[in-house]
Amino acid sequence: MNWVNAVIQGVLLGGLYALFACGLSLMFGVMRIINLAHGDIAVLGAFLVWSLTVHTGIGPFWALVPALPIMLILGYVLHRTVLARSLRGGPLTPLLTTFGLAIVIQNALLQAYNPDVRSLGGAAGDIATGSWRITGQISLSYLGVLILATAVLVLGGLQLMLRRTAFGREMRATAQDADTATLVGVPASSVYARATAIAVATATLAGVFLGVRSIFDASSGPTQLIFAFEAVVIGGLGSLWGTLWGGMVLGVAQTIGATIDPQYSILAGHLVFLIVLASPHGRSLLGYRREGRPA
Amino acid sequence: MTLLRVENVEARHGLLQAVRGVTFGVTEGEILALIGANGAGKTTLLRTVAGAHPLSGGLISYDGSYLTGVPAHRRVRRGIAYVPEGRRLFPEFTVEENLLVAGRRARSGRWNLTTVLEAFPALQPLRGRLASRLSGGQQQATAIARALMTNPRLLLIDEVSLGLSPKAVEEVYACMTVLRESGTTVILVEQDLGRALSTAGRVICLLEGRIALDAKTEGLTRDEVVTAYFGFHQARPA
Repeated sequence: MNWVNAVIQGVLLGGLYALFACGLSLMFGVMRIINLAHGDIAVLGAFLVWSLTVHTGIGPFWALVPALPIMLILGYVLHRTVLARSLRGGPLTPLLTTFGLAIVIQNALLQAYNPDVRSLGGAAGDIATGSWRITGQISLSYLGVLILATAVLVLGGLQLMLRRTAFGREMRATAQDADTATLVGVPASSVYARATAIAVATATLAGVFLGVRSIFDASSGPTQLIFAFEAVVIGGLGSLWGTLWGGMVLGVAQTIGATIDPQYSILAGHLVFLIVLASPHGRSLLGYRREGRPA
Repeated sequence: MTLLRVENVEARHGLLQAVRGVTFGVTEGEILALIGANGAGKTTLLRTVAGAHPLSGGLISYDGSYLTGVPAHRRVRRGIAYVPEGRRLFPEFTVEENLLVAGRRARSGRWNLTTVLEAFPALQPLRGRLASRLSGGQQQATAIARALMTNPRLLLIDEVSLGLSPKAVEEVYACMTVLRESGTTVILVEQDLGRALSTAGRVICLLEGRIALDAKTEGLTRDEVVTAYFGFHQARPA
């Protein structure tokens, strides 16, 4: 029964990883850039919500109401001012730019909030600690189910938006061939900016769930980036449903590893990532990099 | 009325100057063929007008206002559409999606999905097919239809028949009838001189980035075209 519980908890944990990964996947899918500041942006969002919670007394989920629009605007401005310029400098420049941005965010957070760890769990109420007990050994936490449901809704909503709306069609056209998209009247730069805005907002959502579920500090971003990156690679670069699947595989690997021995938790996730990378699926991803398109 | 005015336009590819001081005007409703040998600067000139290639010198004015600094997507909204060489359809889109993506920010006008599919009946049964699965002729027809979805006043078509079978070329040139009837101004780049001269009312021949010939197609002799095309007089057989 322990194993069944491990798989269930892994699937729920995978929801959080998928939420972290979806913005990363969207930015890669549309702009072909890997945003190395993604984890730090998520932590920045968590700190913003923490500040709103502390100063206004509202719960972290209510604090998302003003925080998400703020982060959407921040994402839009981030692209217009920083990423758009770096995109013109070739594929390596955005990587270096977002790496620098990650360092700037970490140090700014350290300066503004000091190195103390924080949590949003206390302000979230019963949802942070409550659970449904299914059997003696299996339980479903409210928060885990909420995170997974949110991940499915966000990824499903994004997928629906990409497939069914005119804006989504423009985004897919730009992802396929930005130059041609421009020549049929699509403002590629504006599409990129909106994709970045959505990615930053989803990162904020993930950051808040991280804060409610556990603790965070100014240097939590890179760890979350690694998990998000692993989920994206396991699920297939640029594929949104694949990202959900990748998050779940990573989550299950970690909880099964933890069931064997708590110290194997993170290691098991990394091992699955490396196995996927060495598999034909992983080789096709490397082909993706060489050809610039899926192999 | 002059719709497009190109004045002393220059364009470069790095150190190579592809277009050198080209000047011409295009009247509304005119069909102009741009001919010339490979590397003469035809595609570069067309891409410069479309905003897909930077202007190194000179001015381009369209409908009375200069296009300097106007990005390509805004030129589309002003009524300049470009059908690129190689069609460049979105391969993961169906024919219908390719048309719709171009129609979203289009100027108002007669062209929409319904009227375009009426004008190109061959595309009607293909509307759900992926662009990557179309034949060359079908792709070219889709690319022209996609450009029409933006309701252009000026349509730039690069290498109309390049790489197409004779049957596909016939199909594509049938589209030209639609364009002529709609009164759309067209600049087409064509390697098939016979086709170019029979379709267009006027021809401009580029040679090493300069205009070597600018004349009405009516009454134009073969010698005049050959001289401009190759830059020398052909020796006549004794």
